[in-house]
Amino acid sequence: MLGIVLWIVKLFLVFFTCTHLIAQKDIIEPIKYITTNIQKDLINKRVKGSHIKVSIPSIPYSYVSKLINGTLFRVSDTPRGWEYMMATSYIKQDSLTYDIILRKGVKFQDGSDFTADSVVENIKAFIKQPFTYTDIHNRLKGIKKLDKYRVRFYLKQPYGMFLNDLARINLYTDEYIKKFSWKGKSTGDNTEEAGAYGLGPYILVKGFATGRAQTDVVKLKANPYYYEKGMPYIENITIYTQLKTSKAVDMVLNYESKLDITPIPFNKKTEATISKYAKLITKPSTHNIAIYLNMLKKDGILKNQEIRVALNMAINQEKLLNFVYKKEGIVAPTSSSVNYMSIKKATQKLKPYGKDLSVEDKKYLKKILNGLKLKVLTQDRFMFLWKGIEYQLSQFGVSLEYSITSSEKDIYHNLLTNREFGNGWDILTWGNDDWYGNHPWTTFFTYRTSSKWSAIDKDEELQQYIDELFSSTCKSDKFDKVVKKIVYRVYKKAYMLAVPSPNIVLAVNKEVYYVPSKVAVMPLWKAKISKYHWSVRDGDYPKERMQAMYPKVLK
Amino acid sequence: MIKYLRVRYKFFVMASLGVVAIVLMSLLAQNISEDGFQRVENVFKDSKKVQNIQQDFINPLFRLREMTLSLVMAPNDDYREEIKMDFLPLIKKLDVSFSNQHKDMNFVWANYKKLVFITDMYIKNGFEEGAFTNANSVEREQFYILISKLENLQAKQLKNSYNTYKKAQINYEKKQDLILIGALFVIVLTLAFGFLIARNIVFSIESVQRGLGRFFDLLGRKIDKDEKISIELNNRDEFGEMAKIINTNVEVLRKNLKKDITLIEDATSIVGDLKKGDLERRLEKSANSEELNRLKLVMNKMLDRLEGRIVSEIKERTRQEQLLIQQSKLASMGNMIGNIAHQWRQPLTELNAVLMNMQVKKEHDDLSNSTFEKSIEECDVILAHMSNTISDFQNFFQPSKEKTKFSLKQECQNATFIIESSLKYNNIDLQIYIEQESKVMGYPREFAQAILNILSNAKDVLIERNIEKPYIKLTLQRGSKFALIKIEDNAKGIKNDILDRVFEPYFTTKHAKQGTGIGLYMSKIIIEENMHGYINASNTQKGALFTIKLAL
Repeated sequence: MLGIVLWIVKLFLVFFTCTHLIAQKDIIEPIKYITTNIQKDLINKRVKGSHIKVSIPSIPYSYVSKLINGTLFRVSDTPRGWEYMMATSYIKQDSLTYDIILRKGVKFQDGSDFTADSVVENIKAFIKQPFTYTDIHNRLKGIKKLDKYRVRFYLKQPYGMFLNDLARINLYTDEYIKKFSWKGKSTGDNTEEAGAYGLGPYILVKGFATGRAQTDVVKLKANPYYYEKGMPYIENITIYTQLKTSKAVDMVLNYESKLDITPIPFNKKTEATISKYAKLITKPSTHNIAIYLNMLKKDGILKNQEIRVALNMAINQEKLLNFVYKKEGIVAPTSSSVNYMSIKKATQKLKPYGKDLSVEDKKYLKKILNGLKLKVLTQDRFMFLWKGIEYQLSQFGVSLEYSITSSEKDIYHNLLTNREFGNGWDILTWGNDDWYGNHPWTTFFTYRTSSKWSAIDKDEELQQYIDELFSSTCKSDKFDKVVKKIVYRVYKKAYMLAVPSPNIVLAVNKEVYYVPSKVAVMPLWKAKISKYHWSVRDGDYPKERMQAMYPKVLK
Repeated sequence: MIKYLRVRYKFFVMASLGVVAIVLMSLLAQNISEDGFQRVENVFKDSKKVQNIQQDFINPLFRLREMTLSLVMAPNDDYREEIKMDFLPLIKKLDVSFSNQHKDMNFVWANYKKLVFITDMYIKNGFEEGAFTNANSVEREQFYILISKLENLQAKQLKNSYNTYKKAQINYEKKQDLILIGALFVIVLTLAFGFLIARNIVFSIESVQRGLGRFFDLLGRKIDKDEKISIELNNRDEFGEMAKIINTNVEVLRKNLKKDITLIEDATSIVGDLKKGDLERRLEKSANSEELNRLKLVMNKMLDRLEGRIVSEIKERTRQEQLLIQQSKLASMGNMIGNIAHQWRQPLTELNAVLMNMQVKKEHDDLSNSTFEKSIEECDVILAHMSNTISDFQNFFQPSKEKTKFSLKQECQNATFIIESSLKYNNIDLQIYIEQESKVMGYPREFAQAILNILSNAKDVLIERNIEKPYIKLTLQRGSKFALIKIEDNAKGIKNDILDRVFEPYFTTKHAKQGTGIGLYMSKIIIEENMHGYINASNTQKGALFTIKLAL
């Protein structure tokens, strides 16, 4: 009897299962996105053999420098643009005298002690041949050791950007100073040779990156003497400096161990979202895409202000933002990101050029621009943007001729020799990540006609404003006013082609915990990996972790 | 059975069959129409269901899909708000539509809706990549599964529609067969019954027709009056009654006709006797017909009168013939005497010369005995010749006793012999052309007399008209069946207005003392009646031509 009952029950179950399966075959389950719940799986200590691979297509020398070098202040996305690093505090004695109190117990990567002597020696070497892309070379007078952990800086004239500038004067070991010293290069933080020369979280163990020259691959290893306890968490970092965008995207999205972190074009966000191995991380930034208009080119058409303005007017940033940036950015009236507080204030009443054009405006633009042919030099990673721009300009009869490179050094070469030779390009695109750190100087420095970084021929008025900027302390009224003057001047003269300021859009290995900075610093020393990361895991990557992952949208 | 029905009932039955056939066909046609209408309505309903699936499900789903994609692709929230104004109402509408569907379908729809809302949720949360991915992967897949299921449903409905249509078609074909069979049955039945009725009617009509035909044949004497001619028809219909009446009447008519025929036969017989000259018989039996009886009386009266007139006419004729014969005899005699005179003129002259010679010699005493004897001998010869001439003339005018085969040549020569001297005397040239001997049956002397009459007439006219170089040409020709004798002269011919009358008795153009008008008449009687030949008179350019044609 019991057997019969069981048999009937079994029959019923089989029937129910079959019916259910038949019904289920027509039901498509929604894509399940896993959340970034890797916190519980993160390895909170440095594990031997841990390794990530990073592609840095834009100013890799700057990013690498900040990973391997120590400075008194470190560039950060804080409102003032810096944070304490080797300095722990400062005292502004007067407008020309700054006392800096140093961090104690810090050792260089080679194990030697870091003291006031190290700072004095480095600053003296810097003063001999400083970089010139700020005004520190004109304003820093000297340095004096007050005690083992205190130094005093003397300025020739007040310099509002002094502390920000200190954030990019690397402090090297005696050995490096003696060997390479400072050379006053346009791009270049001194990372000319691999070796334990700095104070940063990582030691450059292979390759180099100076901007004008760099190896394709740069390898870093964790600095055992790094002052922040436990950091860096990842032992090895491989950095690719000149990967083609398409290749980088393929490596990070479709393979587990080829690339862990890379910026991706905006139109690859969806792929990043559903990738088996990567997740999408976006964050507003203070970066900008600097689109130079060459006013130094001999007989260049862009010397004509009317044409420059017309070109800017022909760009509809809203449409670019929606269709090209996939909303990963913000409309900017000038080339400076409005994510800078000072720029945001300055451009409050400044209408983006191409917004709300009337029929007459369009006729005017057609009249001015029709038949214009421009040579564009760009990195391949900006072609997505150029296709959008090209479409918009084509409406007014402008045609573009491209020179495309995957290497930033080609861009630098054409830009930094332009003032001397008046190169043939009309427009040059450069990924101007906020290397100066939450400060509009990142873009303003391209307006400085005395600099190789500028394509503006002459503008005394603007230079006067920039001089005022040097004397203004960040976050002051004076600073905001002079920023506004510069912005309006640049807007009026249309020195650059204004496009929306981009967000940081990264594809990051799902097993890597990394919080990007909105300025040009990659805080990889804070990055962690989970126990499932390819560099530390045994066996295959678990299938359940291959599910699509919610993008991490950082504010 | 049919023959016991009256004709009007037969026609009524035939008409009834036609009406029944029409009613049956109409009912069937109506049934087919109603059934067809029902089927078409079913097809329409099924088609409507197919259309409803398209209208209520597929089209709105595509619209929803399009809206979802538009939401995903919309560049900003303004566009999205605009799209979403129709978004939820459309989903509600689809909810209502799907609530009436099978739970499986509803389940799939619910899941698709869920996925659409997930897309919407992602959009709301700013997770546009998720919205895009969702819309273009699982939502899309679910959408097409749903559409596929709906299309299957549509196909099923369409199949139903097709099946309904097919059933209607089969039913229609069956009904068509039924109509065909029904029509055939009714047609066969109607034809069979109609045939039987028609055959019966036709048979009746034919029987009556045949009976009447025979009756008329009887009337027309095409059949024997004693032959049975009654209509054999046993029908109890109008034709049967008609046949009986006709039979009765025919019998009565036949009896009457018999009487009439007897009378007519008697009349005919009497007429026959009349031809034979028997005028004594009279019609004695009476006929049924009054007219015939009147005819009988008239005929008897007419016979009586005819008999009287014939007797008197015969008497008159006999008298005239006798007179004519007498005249003819006299004329012949005159002619004969004239001819003898002409015949004798020469011998008489010779005799006169001999006698004169004897007289002269006697006077001169030169008459010797020998001369005398010689002269006497000469006179004897001349007289013997003259005596022969008389005999010849006598023989010529002696009628032939019986028919005999005689020579035309000989008789023509006999005739010319008679008139030859007279012609010479009048300087008339007689030309005789006889090509070949021909012999015919007949009376030779009468024939010679006929030729002589024609020659004599020609001679008279030539003399009368004083024709210069007169001549008469007689030609005898022989054919295969006939002999032809032509006699022509140059006496300028017979006037056309009298040409047809020259053979009539007593017709003459001569002076009363010269002609009797009997000669040519006698010639025609001799040639045509006695010898069954043919004689004709015509004119040539120079004169008259008489042609005689006789069978060999």
